Amino acid sequence: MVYYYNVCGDFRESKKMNGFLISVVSVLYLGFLFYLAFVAERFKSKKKSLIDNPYVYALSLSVYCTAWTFYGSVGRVKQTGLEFLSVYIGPTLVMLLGWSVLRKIIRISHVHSITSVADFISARYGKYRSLGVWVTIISLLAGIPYIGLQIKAISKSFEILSGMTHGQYFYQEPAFYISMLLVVFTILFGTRKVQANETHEGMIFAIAAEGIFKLLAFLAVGIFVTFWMNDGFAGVFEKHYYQKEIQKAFDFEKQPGYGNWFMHILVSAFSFMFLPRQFQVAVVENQNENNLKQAIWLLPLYMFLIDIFVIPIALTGSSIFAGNPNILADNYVIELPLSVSANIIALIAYIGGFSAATGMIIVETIAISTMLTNSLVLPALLENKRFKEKYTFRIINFAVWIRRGAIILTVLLGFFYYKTVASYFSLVSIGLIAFVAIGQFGPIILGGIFWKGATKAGALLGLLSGFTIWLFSLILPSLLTDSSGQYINTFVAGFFEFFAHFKIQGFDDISNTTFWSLLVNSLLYFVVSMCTEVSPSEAKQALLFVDVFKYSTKEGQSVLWKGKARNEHLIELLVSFIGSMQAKEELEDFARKNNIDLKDVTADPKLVSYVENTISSIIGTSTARMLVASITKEEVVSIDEILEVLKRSQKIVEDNQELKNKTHQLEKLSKELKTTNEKLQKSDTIKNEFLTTVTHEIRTPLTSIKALSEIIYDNEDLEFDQKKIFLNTIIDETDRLSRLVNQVLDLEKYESGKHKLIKKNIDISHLIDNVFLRMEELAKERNVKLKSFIHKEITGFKADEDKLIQLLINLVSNAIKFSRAENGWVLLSVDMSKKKVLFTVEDNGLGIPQEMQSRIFEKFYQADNQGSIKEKGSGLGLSITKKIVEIHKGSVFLESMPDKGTKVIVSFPN
Amino acid sequence: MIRRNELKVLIADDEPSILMSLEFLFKKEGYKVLIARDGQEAINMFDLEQPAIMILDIMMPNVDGYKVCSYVKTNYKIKAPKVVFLSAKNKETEIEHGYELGADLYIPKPFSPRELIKKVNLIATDML
Repeated sequence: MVYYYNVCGDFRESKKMNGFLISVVSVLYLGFLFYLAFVAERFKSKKKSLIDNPYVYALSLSVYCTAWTFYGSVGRVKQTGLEFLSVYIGPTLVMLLGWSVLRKIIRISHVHSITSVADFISARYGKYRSLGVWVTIISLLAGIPYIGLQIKAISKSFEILSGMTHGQYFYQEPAFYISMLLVVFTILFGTRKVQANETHEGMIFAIAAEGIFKLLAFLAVGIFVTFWMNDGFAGVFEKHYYQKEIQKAFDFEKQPGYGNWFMHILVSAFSFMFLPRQFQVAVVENQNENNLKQAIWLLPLYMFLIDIFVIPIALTGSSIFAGNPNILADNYVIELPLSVSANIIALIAYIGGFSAATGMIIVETIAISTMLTNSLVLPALLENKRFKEKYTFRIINFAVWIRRGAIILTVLLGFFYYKTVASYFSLVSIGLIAFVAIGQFGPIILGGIFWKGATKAGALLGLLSGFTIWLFSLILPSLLTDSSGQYINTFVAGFFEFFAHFKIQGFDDISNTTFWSLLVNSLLYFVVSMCTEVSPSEAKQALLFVDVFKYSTKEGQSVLWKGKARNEHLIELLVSFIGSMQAKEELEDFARKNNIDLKDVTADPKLVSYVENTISSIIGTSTARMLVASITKEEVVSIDEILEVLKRSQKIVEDNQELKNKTHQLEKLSKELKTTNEKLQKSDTIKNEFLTTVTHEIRTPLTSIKALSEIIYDNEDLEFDQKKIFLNTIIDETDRLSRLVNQVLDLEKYESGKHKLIKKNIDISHLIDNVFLRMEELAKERNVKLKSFIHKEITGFKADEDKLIQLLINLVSNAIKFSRAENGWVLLSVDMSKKKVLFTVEDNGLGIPQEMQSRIFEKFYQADNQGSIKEKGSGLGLSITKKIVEIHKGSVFLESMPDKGTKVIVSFPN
Repeated sequence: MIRRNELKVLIADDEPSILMSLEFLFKKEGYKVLIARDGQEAINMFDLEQPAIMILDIMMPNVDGYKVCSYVKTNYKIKAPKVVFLSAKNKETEIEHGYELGADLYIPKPFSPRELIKKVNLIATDML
């Protein structure tokens, strides 16, 4: 890395990139943008939108991050430390906390076919033209330097990367040709088609792509500087934080104070919403309110990512270039990779900055040219009576060409600014100065959408007062000083010295101006509004704006027009804007939906509103208002009439809502009915299965009884012993039958909840004796040994004794039935743990296969491994056992190993 | 004359009391009676003894009566025994299924021993 200085003091570096190559890359990049835009337009013509999704929407909002972010953030860190974050905190807060404001603005703009922020403000205050004009002028004054700044960034980054300085004439600068290419792009994708409710599909898609490029580029440089040139974040601070200048910037004590933070956050929040380009992407180009929901977190995430590496780059740069005052902090992003000959990274940085700058220029130009056309030039032309008579139905042709002219003019002005005026202002300040100007829209927009009492007089005076303060405190001082920093004459000096008294301690110039301008702006807005009367046209717009969610649906707004109009004139006007084909289609559709006959001579007020709204979306609300007024005879609508209409339409909206609710309820009800039905059917099936099984189980003993009795009856000569066996079997089978009937009844009782629990204190040893007494005979018969064990003395255990005995008998008899032929035993033990009483019935019998263990508590489930000797059981015993446990709020567990034995544990709460 | 003691009858049922009554009935009529307590045992016994008539319960552990029936009817064809189902399954579809598998008779439980013997005797007469 070899630097040398020439006589003039600027430096050259030995290894730089070829200027021609950089030009080619720049043009190729723009070519790629054209391609992306064409693709999106192609999709649009096939009725598919590439931009109607939250990701593209959030990325398009990132047009907020311009070259000022890309190069300037690093410079601001060097001067004011962490304070650079304030302009990103503003937008983040808007998304996280103020998204409902943004949503309301979007809704209003969709309903009223708003085309720009000037359009929005003038529409709110009774479609008052002067407001639109002033908003346009302020936007232009704030926007042109901002565009100039982007062109300067492109030009400077080109110079640094190529190591060449351009000639002093504009045609010697690559930036000039790039600007012209951007004009072509903007005209192509901004005014290619002029149609109702137009969105610039191609442009927005390209802008979203640029959002990705600049982020990736900045991350690439950041990662390169942080992890390749240094050892990670900690390494950056260890190595480079020693600098006095940096330490001062990061020292809160030595910084101007929190007031600056607050003011910067405030203006950046306003700017994020109301900068012409931001209003364009966030509101005018918004396809779907729902996209906002995701952008609430996507945009803050974007801001976070693009800010992560700012501080490492600033620290490293100011340390490496410490002895080289010619390298500005604004250029570290490119200079750092160049200093270690990482030309590719430097080129990536250049492309990132290039995309940040071009994105801004394109959208800002579209927005400003729309405002110039719709709010300034067209209304002015229509003021002229002769023009109006001659061209009312041909205005669209003018609109397109005026817009194209405005685009060229805007970019040229930006370029002109960069070549001439830019030197008066530091690079860093241009962005914030623009923010403060745009901030003046804040009070009248926020007031306008929440306060019905605001008037156009209040709005205009508030806006102009804030604007004047901005002009006098941030612009004129720089223009009226000479090169040595002295005011040009004593009058000017005296003037500004007087105002210097208003300087607030701890505020920088930006914050000071922000504070005073917004204070005076808001105060005048409020006071003048209170002192002036709300005219009918203002009241109408106030209602439609403030109560947008109440009165207006997306489908259409309330008709608030009164007067006489001829259908043919309206149709002719509409045709002049959208062509006869589309007009015919839309009009027929509209007439059918609203039950209007287009062949009538006089037009329906609904049609008047419809036509006005449609052409508003093309040439703005003020111009549309003027055009419609010129072809109709309007009458003034009183506030009472307006309220009447709005109430009626609100009723319709409410009725619709109610109907929707009712339908919803009905749907819910029928769904519930369906599930209930399904449940019933299911329980019906279960009941049927139960019945089938019960019948079968009853039939089995009946069969034996019938067969044996018939045999005894038919065979009088039966031997005595044989007869005795048969009769005994009949008795057994009868017992089995009655047991089964009892169990079915028991189970039914438990399942239907008709059982009664008679709880009393249980004497455990008495209980065990009782159970064993009843099992004695069966155990003896099967040669099984009965054992019991009480681990802990249990007192105060309450349960229904009869049911507990029934339960234990079921378990013990089951254990006995499945005992092994020799040395079989069954152990009944009782224990207490953690407030639970545990009964365990354990045996060393046949065991239950794994796959059956979960099913044996089902009704009539008898494990198949019962062998060839079928055990007599109803198949209901364990189901009843489980029910008894359940009604005591206990639980039952089973452990079993085939051929080893089974263990059933029943636990009751004590 | 009929020499029934040359005819083997295999009775398969998992209910001891029913086995008891059927064994008594058929022995008294002069048949040679074989006993099986589930389907698998019935199949094994058939392979071994090849009885002429089988009295089959349907719901038995391990292998059910339907399977026993289709086993003997498909594997032994001409030498296959006469099969009489004796079951508490008495829905029409269940009875039809039994006949589809080649059963010669289907008697629902509870049954009358008199009727059963009469019908089995008729089958036996046809065979002799």
